[in-house]
Amino acid sequence: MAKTILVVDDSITMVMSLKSTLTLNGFQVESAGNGREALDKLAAGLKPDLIVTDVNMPVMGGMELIRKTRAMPGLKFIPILTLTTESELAKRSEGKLAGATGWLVKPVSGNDLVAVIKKVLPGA
Amino acid sequence: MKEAVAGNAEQFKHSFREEAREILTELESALLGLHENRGDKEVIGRIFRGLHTIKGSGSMFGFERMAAFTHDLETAYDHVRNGRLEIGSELIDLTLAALDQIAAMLEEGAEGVAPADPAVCAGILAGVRKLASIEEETKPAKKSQPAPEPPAAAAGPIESWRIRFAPGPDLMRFGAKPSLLVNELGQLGELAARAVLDAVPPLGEIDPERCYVRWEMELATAAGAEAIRDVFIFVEDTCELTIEPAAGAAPALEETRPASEAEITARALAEKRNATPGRRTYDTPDNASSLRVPAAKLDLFVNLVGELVTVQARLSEIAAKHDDPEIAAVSEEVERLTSSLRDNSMNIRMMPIRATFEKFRRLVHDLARDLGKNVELTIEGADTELDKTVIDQLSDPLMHLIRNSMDHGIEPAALRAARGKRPTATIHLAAKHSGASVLIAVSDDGGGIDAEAVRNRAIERGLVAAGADLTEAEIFALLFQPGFSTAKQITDVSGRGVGMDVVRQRVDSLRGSINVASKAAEGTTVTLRLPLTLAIIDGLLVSIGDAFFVLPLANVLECVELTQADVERANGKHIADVRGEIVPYIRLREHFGIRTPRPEIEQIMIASTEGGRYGFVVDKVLGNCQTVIKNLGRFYRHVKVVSGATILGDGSVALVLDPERVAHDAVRATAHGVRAGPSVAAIAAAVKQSLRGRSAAPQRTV
Repeated sequence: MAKTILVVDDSITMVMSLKSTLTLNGFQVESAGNGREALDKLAAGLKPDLIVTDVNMPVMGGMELIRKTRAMPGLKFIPILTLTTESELAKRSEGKLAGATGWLVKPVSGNDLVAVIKKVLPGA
Repeated sequence: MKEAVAGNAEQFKHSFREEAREILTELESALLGLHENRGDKEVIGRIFRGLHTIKGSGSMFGFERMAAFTHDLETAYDHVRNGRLEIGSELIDLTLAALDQIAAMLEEGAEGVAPADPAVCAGILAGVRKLASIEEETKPAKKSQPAPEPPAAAAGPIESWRIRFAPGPDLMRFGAKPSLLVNELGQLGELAARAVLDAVPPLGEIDPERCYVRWEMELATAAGAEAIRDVFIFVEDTCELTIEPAAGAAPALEETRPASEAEITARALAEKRNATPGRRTYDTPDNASSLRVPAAKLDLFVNLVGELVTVQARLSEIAAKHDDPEIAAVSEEVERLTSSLRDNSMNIRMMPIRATFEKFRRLVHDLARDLGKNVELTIEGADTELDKTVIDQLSDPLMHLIRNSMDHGIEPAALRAARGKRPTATIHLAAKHSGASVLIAVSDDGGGIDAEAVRNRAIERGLVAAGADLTEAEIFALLFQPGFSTAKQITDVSGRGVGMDVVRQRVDSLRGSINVASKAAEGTTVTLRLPLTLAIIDGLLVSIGDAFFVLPLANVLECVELTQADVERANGKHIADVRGEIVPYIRLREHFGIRTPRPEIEQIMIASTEGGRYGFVVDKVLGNCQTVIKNLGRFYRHVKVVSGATILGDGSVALVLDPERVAHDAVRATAHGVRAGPSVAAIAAAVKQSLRGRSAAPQRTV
């Protein structure tokens, strides 16, 4: 069965491009424009196999999203990848503290994206 | 795949341009707004995020120059956001100028738009860097983007690596899976992995969310150390990882593999000795050698195990009916597992009684001072373990017993001297195992119990008839009657006549018994016999007519047959001859008023009780059973002969008998010449009803 990935980014183009790459690689993709939207979708019963989230977003950023997601029943152990830029080395450790599984560095190529997802998502 | 992404590139570029234009417009108005209100965090956050998106997404969709240009601006606003940099009109003006350049870069190649001016850009950047004191970055650091290369593509000589991987305990809380990492390593080459389980605590202490396993691996790969390290990139900072060339230059793996386990173990042990103490946190389970778990969780666990035992009994029964070796094998396996699970879960609840004993030292000390007596407390068998529930309930009764001994038992100093006793009196607390019971004794070397005084007192209080002929044990038992107190005057310590009564109630509720031994002028020992655990008992399943009963195995000594001939030989007396020894028996059929015909050969279960050995006559002994005791509920609380009920494998109900009580009742009934014994058949029927309802819709508290 196709794995579902929740992509969270406030940049519409980013979401579009991630969606297109992931769909082409056989993933089911859901998206949200910020942490709050993502949490709402999760609370409404969306059960993704993995979450890819931007760090800096309006309303609710990636770190808070990770912390809140980890506190939700059934999502405690879901793999979560952060999307950071190379300048945000500090964000990686912050992300780890918040409970992120790993990170992707922008710009990320389609190949790298899929490789990293396969690294943390069993059976992908 | 690559073409597909590339094919969409133009579309994304276009979309990003639109998005970026919007962002730039918003940035502009935000910056102008800042002129009015410099401290507006919300606005600063918006500016930072805008620049961030332009940089991050820009780099994704082919606007590398723009992304690089925005980089330092973003950093500057990150400083502003974190309060490290004051926003001033200079920075705002520089940013506005920068936005113009960004807009130019964005529309590069479009008609009628002036291209970005490199000189102006450099000037802006220099200004921003100066303001924000940002050092000009030499080329961005290594991307450290994990890009696992397929092993086939890897060239170079095949090398052997020894990898020790000890994940941090919290690894799984980051959504990481150690097994995935090990599998990924396996894709790099030929991998021999061994999981080291020595840090895995006993079941009861396991936190399922923690990772206790570490791995010793040998990998033969052409990929190189960097590729191996890349596998662990996300967990590197939270785990202990060593990657080193295996000793000996690339031995053929076929040879190393059989030997590797012992070798690795030896090496691991050697290394463990040398390991730096700071890094050993994950190796040693010291920090998790015991866990505090809410008792409610344990209770739930034990309850569930109890249910499992019942279901397993059903499975065994079904398996026995179907002559299918496969089902039988599974059933046996389940039985074995259930039984060890049951033992384990019982074990979790077991606690040494030490803490309870030790806390009485203070009580004895204080009481001795208050009473002006010289008393020391000695303790024996404090490591004896019993069910936490039992221990919890034991504190009060023990306290009453100790108080009583101190107050009534131990004589005043003058009297002790006259009797030639040691001036310092002793209270001795002892615990030991005895079968499925624990014996807890409170002894003193005081004056002993004056049986005559107790008797008189009981008569005075109307507890017994004046002329009653009582044995010593019966007299001592009176001590535990409600409203009994021999103290001449009520003291602070004891003597309100409630304590000993409470002791008996509590011990009864724990399905225990009390034994008092006393010798005048020498001392008294009160022994409490308590079950090791309350939830599950080992019993013998027996039947009478169509009713089932369980006799606790702990009481049952042996089973013998009772034939019609035996009955005739005894001249109607309820006495059996067991290898020359006379054992009185109780016909449970008669005692409980079960009116079904008697079989030719009956069975006598010989059980030991406080009052000696008694036989309990039943129709059939069906076998051993592990039984989860269910409470009968409030409605049947007064029924003492039945300590609980249990659901059998086939769903029928068996009552768990208390042999002690049955014998007691039967003896009294005979003595008073009445056919006592409540109609257990009626109880069984009612209980069956209520339990059926329960088992049909089992209530889960989860």
